Amino acid sequence: VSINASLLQSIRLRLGRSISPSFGTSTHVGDLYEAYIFSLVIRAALNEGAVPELGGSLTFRDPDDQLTTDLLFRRSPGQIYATTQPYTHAVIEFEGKPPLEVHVGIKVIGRLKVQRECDIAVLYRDRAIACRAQRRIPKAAEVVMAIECKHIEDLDLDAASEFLGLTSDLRVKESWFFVASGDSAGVARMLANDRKEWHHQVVPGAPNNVNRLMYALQNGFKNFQAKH
Amino acid sequence: MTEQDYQQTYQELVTMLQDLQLGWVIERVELSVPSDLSGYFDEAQRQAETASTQAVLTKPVAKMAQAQLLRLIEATERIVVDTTDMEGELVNFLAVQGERLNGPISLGFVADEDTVTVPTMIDVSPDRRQAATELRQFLQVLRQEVMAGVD
Repeated sequence: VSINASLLQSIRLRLGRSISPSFGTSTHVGDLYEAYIFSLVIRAALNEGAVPELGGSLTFRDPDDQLTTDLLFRRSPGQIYATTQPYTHAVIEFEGKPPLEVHVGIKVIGRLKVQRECDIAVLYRDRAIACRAQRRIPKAAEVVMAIECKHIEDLDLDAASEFLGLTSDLRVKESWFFVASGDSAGVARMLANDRKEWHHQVVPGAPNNVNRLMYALQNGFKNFQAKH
Repeated sequence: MTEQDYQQTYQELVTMLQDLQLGWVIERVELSVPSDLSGYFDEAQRQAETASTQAVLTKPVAKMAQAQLLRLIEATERIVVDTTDMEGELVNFLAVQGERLNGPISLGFVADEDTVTVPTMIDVSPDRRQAATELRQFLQVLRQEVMAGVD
């Protein structure tokens, strides 16, 4: 029995109407995925007390540290001190704790003294301000949490190897997260054996996976608060 | 269903994606061969080496075509539907943040090299969300039909 032609026609019609005019390339979808994971970091921080009722706050700011409501993210990795575009970062404050900043797609320097990309980086705010003032690249030790975002359906072992190399070079303070839209038993095994924090199939259609990541991020913020 | 049926459906999907400038989705599927398919490829090669000129389509070859088609269906669903879902989630996120910060919030993307800041903005209409929901349902029906195809 061959496939029903009307089924294929229905798919064709819906496919055309579902496509985002702005996110039609692999790179653009990757940007969108990073923004989506950024939104989960923000939600996790709010859940852990970055709200006025608990003495905290969470704002969005531009490179001049001015409040903004027009969030603008990078299409490719760049420097934290870049002023070519008014890129946005979030400022998180927990009561009585050092403030933090959340950046998307910035370069960080590690033990090997080469620039590496952090898809999402949570840094100490005073260090981030110093980096912008001195036009220098943040050091891994100034990063509290970092997230590698992979919008790939078929993860291969290279992705896991690259991640292990990245985390070996960039030793962040609290934790690294490997977050992917797809999954792979091999990648999971590799990262689990190396005691890495990994999250597969983190997409809106898989709420259990999204919640699991949210709780892990909240745990990261909880530990940060406990240590400071 | 025969190998030819799978290939024909695969080609139909390929044409749809190419018409919408989504050839990269096909490339992703064709570039990566999961390890669980390697056995089928080995079997297909063995058959090709030993088959007569009137080769009979056998189960492993049909299964390989089936698996490849299933992977394309899954990639299409993940990339097209998930993208709409993510945009929808971000629109909701911006609405919540706007409420929290007492003003509308927008989200866009821009590159360093862009000389004029005209960011790509997040926007997902109810029609697109509806189309994506229906697309997911139709792709699930297609997946079920394809999975039921090889005895």
